[in-house]
Amino acid sequence: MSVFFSRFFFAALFAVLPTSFAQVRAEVWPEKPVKILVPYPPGGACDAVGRLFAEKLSERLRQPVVVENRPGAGTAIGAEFLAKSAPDGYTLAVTPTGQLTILPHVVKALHFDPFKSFTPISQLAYTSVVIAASPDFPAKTLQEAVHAAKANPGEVSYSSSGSATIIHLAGEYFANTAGVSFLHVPYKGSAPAVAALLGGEVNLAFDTLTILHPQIKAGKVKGLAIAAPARSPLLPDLPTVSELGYPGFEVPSWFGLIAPAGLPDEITQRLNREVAAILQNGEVRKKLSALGLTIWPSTPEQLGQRIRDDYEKYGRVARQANLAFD
Amino acid sequence: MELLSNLSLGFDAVLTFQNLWYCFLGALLGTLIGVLPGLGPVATIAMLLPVTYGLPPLSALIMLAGIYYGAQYGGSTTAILVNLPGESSSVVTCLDGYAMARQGRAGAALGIAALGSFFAGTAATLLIAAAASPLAEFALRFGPAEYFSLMFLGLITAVALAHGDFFKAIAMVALGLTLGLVGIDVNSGVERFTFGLPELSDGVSFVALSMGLFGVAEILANLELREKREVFTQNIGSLLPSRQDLRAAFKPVLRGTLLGSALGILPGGGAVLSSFTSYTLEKRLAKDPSRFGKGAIEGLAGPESANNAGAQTSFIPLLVMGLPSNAVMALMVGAMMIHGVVPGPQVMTERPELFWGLIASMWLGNFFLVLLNLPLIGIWVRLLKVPYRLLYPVVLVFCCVGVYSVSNSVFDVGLALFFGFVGYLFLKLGCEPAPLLLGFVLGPMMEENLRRAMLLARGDASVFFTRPISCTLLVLCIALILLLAWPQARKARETAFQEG
Repeated sequence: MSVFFSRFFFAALFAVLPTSFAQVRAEVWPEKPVKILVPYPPGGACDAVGRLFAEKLSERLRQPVVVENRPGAGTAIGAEFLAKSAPDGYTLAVTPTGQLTILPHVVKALHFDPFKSFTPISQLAYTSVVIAASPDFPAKTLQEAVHAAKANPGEVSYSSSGSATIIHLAGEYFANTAGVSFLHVPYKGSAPAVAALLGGEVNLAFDTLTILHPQIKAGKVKGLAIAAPARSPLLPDLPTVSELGYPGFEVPSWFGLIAPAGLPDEITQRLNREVAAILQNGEVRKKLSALGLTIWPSTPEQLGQRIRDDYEKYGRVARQANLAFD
Repeated sequence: MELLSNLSLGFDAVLTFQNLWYCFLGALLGTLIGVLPGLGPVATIAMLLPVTYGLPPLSALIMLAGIYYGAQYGGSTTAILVNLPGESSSVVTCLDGYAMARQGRAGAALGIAALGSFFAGTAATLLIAAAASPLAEFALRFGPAEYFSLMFLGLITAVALAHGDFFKAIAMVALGLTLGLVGIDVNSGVERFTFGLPELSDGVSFVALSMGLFGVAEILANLELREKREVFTQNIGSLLPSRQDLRAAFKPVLRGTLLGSALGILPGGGAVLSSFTSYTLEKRLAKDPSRFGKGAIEGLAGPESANNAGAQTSFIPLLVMGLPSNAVMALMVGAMMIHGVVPGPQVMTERPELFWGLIASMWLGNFFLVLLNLPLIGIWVRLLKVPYRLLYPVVLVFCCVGVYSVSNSVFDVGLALFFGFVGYLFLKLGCEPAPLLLGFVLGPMMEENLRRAMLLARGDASVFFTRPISCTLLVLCIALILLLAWPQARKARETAFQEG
């Protein structure tokens, strides 16, 4: 009798609490729509990547996958929201480079741990930082720009999409590497930063290939170099920074897929396989490459390692540029 | 003649059954979400983005653009009927539009808003077609020094917005500036007045602030009155504006269109500035400025045309350079990217059918909007007959949904309610919320550009006077200040304002 009752009790519990048990039922995942958080407002590259993968994942998982924008506090709000979500495979997030590798160095009161709060799933794609010069600026090559900066320390200005963003750190990282000092002029996002370059307000701009390649292609600004291991097929004439005498200077701006810490391993592996398959899809590659993004498949461990490596790298740059609080 | 051939290319691309349908659908959806308080084009376009995956890029962009300018139309409807600005640019519409509605002239107000907007939309579309590229070049010449001077001019005119005590207006502008300080400072990356709340690090949400100060406060204040609104719902008046109204509105519409077209090109505050500036201009030009804020038709027609013209010309930086000037344009970039169109200067040459098709669709969209809106006026006006106890809970719910939808934040909903109580206090104290909102919008941009200009000029303040555009704007500011400070002018002003 008591066995019957306890069974009845548990059955009732299952019936009223289906969601709380979902996390242990990894074998039947996904049973309901999956949410992908994007820590930016709709419209940017991160959002485009999120929506592209949401569409393709939805086909493969046979469940609706919806993008939810949780912008704010330089992506910290999105990260905190994800960290507090249940690790049941129904809440995932696209993480941009700076979220887990720069933010923890420059913001004191974060309610998440870049290593302990999340489960890495897979790298998705990356674009590289490009250095461009305004049409009015006399320098036509990276070397000339460096010479100009050496001759007048702190006089050559560059625009960035904001303070303590990957773009800002790329600028400071390059200044350190080349042994010069630039005047950093932050803007509210990439669009005004690039407009400032077009209008000649600033001499140089650092931004991603996604943002700058249409302007360079149209001859509106002068492309100086790309901080990538190899030239981009979008701009085959644009030299890499390494070629120009700063070997190993690479600043990829990447996107990864993560979930809250404690995601069951079966779900992590399943998602990693699905992402790998999506990245092989010709249409996806074409859409990404039109945006200056290159596919970047990886294992979950490789994404975890990437986060740790970049965390160290940008921590050094942030400290040298006096951006870090410690 | 290049213009004509370009436009015909555009119309060729648009005049297919499918594109016309999406243009109409966009305008309709835009009107609806514009009417719903708080629910803005950003949230709607974001939600509809996945729906456009299967469409050809031109159809998708036509529909999304339609939602944007349709929302401008719809936003004024709510502003006129229930004193709720759906968009920052319809804040000014509340001032005289709502006053007209209270006088039983809601139909005339809606009609003038629709016709003025149509005229402005048509003129601005032609302007884009004729001169998008040179205009974009001009906008690029606007550096931080010019922006600062323009914002400064805007702030000085803000005082003219108030129709109460002069010092209260200044206090409200100052309060707006102070609220604008909240959040991460763009130049240094330092958090200010956030009390450690991450939700405040991007500043106070404009939608939460305006919904609270206008909408929630209005509802609270009306709870004191017992269905007093009956008085003006009985007497709705004629649905369409009279010939006299049209004559009074004609010149303000022309001036508003010019002003809006010019300011809309500038990224950031263009649309807001143009409607506020138009209002100030009309008030200055009016023979009897004391009518403003009490249902002056010029105070409605000018800003309504200005904000619609501004909405159209804000497409210029996006279309010509691929650089979005506001959140909706950023979404259009997103939509283009998803459809494999890389936004940038090459769109005009590589995808002319897309570029000119979108421009042609804007005119058609504006035409659809008039067709939609004029017959709808009767229905909207009938909404005023809905008793308070039914209408206001619904409005409150939509406000909350709208505020939440901006960035999926519950915090912002709480903030809107908080500002609702603050706004109620302001009403009791006779303080106008409009100057506060202008200070709130312009203050952060003004500071950002002041500091950027100083940074780029290495601390040399003369930069504001050596750059010709900036210098002209500052001279205008000084002239305005002198005008305000001139004892006689001020005395005349005060008597004019104390009449009401």
